[in-house]
Amino acid sequence: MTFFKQILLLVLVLNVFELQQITAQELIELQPSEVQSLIQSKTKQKAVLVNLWATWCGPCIEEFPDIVYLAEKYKDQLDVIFISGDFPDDTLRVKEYLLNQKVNWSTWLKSGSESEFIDAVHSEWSGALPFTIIYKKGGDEVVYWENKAELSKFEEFILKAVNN
Amino acid sequence: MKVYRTVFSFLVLILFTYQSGLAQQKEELSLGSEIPFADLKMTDVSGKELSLNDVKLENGLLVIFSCNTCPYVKAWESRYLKVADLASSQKIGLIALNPNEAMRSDKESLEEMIKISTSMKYTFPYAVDKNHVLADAFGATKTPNVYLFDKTNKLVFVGSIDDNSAKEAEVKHTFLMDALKEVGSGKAVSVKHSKALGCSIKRVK
Repeated sequence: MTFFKQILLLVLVLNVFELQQITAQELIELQPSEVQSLIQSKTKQKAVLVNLWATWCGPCIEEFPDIVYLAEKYKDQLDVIFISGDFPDDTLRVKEYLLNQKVNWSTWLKSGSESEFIDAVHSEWSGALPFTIIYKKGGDEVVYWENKAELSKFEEFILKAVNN
Repeated sequence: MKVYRTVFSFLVLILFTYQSGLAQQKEELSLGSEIPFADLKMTDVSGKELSLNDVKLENGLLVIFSCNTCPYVKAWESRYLKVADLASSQKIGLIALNPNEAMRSDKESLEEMIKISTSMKYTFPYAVDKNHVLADAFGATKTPNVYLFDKTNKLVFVGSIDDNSAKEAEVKHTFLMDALKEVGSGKAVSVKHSKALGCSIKRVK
């Protein structure tokens, strides 16, 4: 194969690899008006855990691996909706973090008016990160809380959600 | 057996009480409340010891819980100066308080606060809320978090500076600026609450 063709093949392979990565962990902008319809669409199929986080939020990062672990453990019964509060300019950093944490499902990035967004997520949320809500399949809310939580707390309420 | 059961019950009671105490956060200060701990002296970046009453002006007081590290504070920081100018013209005193006691020996130290205040050219005091006493009394959950009191020392607005930290050009509602003008002219505040994203306050356990 000529040198030129080798380079072309390499570029093609790299692009396909990159495309797979982007598809595997798509980061989708989420407007306030779309929040509830997203949650409702997911709760039709399974119990759902919603977690609001950001790459610069220390407590969010501390609990993040636990949530990923539980997402895998309960994947047949639970969907995890990660919504990042990072700024739009930091999309690459968010994607890199998700890649490092082996989050291979789509997650979301807050967009639009903040106050509308916070109200759309939960009426009792003050806007402090992290924030977690857990729903049963069908959409009934099990629990919500502000601040970081231990793995045991997440698992306790996930079990309540999945064991109807 | 009876002794063990009594001891165990006692331990459970202590544990429950202790945990309840920890979990007792701090309900948010309700509208109409008076300024909490108004005379508590706090160390300011200027070296002075200041209380909220020291800072208050004839038309009211604005308290912003802020910090050195939160990206949401950074996003709004340039707007702090506009807020400060307006507060001053409306004869409303302004003070920023740093409640992040859990990081006080590191990035939220007074030394770091002085650097921030200098580099960002703060025109208002920035003081240490030691052990987050004020943040607890206000029920503040995050930085930035804004509390506005009127000339009668009553809380009339709680929330955020505006509705878009990321993009100043796309701000639709300038909540705080509007409230400052209303308080300055003795009118009732029309939008009394607004919400915004922020970093949770780093409290000591």
